[in-house]
Amino acid sequence: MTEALLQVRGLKKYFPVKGGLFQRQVGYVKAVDGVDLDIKRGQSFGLVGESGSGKTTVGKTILRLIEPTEGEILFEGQDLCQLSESEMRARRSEMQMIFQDPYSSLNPRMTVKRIVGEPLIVHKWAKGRALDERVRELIGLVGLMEDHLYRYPHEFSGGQRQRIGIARAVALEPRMLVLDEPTSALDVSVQAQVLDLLLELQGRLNLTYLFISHDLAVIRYICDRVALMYQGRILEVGSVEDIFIEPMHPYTQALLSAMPVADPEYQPEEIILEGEISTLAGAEGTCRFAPRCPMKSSERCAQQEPVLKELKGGHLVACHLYD
Amino acid sequence: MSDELLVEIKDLRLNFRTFDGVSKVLNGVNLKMWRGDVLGLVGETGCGKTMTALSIAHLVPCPPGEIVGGEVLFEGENVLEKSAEDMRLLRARKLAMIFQDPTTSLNPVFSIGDQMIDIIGSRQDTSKASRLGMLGGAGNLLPDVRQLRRRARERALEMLQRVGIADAPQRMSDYPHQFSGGMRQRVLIAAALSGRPTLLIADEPTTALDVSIQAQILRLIQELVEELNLSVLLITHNLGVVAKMCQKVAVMYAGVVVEYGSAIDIFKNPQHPYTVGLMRAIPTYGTKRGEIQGIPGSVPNLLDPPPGCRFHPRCEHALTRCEEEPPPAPIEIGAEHVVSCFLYS
Repeated sequence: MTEALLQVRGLKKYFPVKGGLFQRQVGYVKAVDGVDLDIKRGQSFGLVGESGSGKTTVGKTILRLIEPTEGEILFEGQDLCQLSESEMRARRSEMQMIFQDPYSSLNPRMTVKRIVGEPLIVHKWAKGRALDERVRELIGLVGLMEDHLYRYPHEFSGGQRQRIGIARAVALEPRMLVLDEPTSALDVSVQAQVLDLLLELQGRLNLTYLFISHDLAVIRYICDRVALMYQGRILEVGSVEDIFIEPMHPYTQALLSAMPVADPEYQPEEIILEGEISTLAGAEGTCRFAPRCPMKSSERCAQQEPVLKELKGGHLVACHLYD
Repeated sequence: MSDELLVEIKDLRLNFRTFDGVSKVLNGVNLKMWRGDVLGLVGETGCGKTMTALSIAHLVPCPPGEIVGGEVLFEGENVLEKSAEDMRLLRARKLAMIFQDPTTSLNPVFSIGDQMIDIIGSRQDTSKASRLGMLGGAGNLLPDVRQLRRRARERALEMLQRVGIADAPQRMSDYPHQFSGGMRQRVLIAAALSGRPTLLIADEPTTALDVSIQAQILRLIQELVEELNLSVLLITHNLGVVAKMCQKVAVMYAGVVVEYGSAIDIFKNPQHPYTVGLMRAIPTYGTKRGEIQGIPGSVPNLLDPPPGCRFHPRCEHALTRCEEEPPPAPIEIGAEHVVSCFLYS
């Protein structure tokens, strides 16, 4: 449990913005701007943020589905950014991704058997009868029936499709899964089924999760450790208890108070943030959250970008309030 | 909260003709809404929430839709029997709607100001005074129209400022793509409420927005409800939003309202097996691992719904009766708490 499986250091991803007469590069969108993560073996690590905070980009750059601009991604101590493309492809069997939309992430022209078996064929893990057996085993593992094998994705409901995606992702016995909003497209009664399946698989297959979501209730339910992202930076990291019971960063506090709680008798006082991520972007070298910060920040917030500092065992905050 | 009934839906049945057959989208919906209520309509995708709301405004697309039975009474009058022109007037004066996706509700090629002015103007034109003005001959026509437009412009500005658009006078000449999602939703709220409606139908108004923006919009709706004495039908699948906003809740499943009651009753003392399952399925504050439980199975296909109670294949308490007979008419089990289930008959 204590050993780090994945370490990310100074990860940056800048997307060029083109414009003008000759489509020259006129600037960057700094989607991820210096992110450090430590994910331990067997952990469920939650990455929370609003849309545009860069959480999905982090997930994709870790698998090098998008090439990072800068930074190190150490998976079991090996820097993935140094690997050649074919080495990386082999390595990816150990880390798989599950996507948000179960409707567009499955090929509509393949049967379930083909979809789930494909990674096994691509990585030459099995063929013939062994392949057949493994696919059946996987289908059973995620709670689908054998007579589902010869059907096509459109014949399944959203929850069942997400199960097919999960079966495909665990086919190569990966050590780590990157789950990008795996339940946001699902209805609540089905979401609960899928969350329970994910917890069960984690125990059974000894998986490590990087769970990306904007749904704080889901993150709280499934994760051990949580990081909050805002405009490409991490503002706070800590255990679930740290973040949800004693949030330190003003953004975390505001976000938690704004999360609607399904209990009409318990409605906490809200801190409503002014403005939006896009309209009130903090300038370079300042705290990115300062323009929306309800703590009416000190001068330092406009002069210096706060860095993550450890407040107490494993609870890190990037805010000048705690200097 | 007064005792005056604003909306009453009685045994509404709606079918949709599709290439695969007839889809029974609403299968006897019963719903009451009093003036001043903020009523939450919850349920999963495809359970008929939006169609129920659209039928209040008589906006169900027919064809392919077909209302095969029932009544929708708005202030005591059956809207399903009204003429198109009467309906248009009713919608202009009494009803307002806002939708989930603020991007598709605005026209990308007209400025926000123009769209607001058109919406407000279309309501003014129906008033008696302007009709008289129109009849007054060409000489009178132009100044009158100009004056109306000026008045509409003032009202548009007033509403945009009220919903919190900064620099409203300048932003009126901006186009929808220059606004963020939250700002667009504010514009739509401004447009919807500019006619001082009685009932606001909000169909998933914050589903497309981030948590912090959602909080802003919900707060705005709450303020406007008090200020304008609105009744609100809030459609959402987010039970957190319902708990925060609504005093009353109606739960729908596969085209039927299965349970209706005060928010406290529905969240703390749910009675219908589906509502019970739904409450068990959501992680709330302090839910521990293994404490949430999904409802087994999935939502039925409405082309071929199960006979009897549509929930029986997923219900742990299903009786043989549930498989054969349609569920009973709503049974009162407490003050303003009704359930449609054989367990209570």
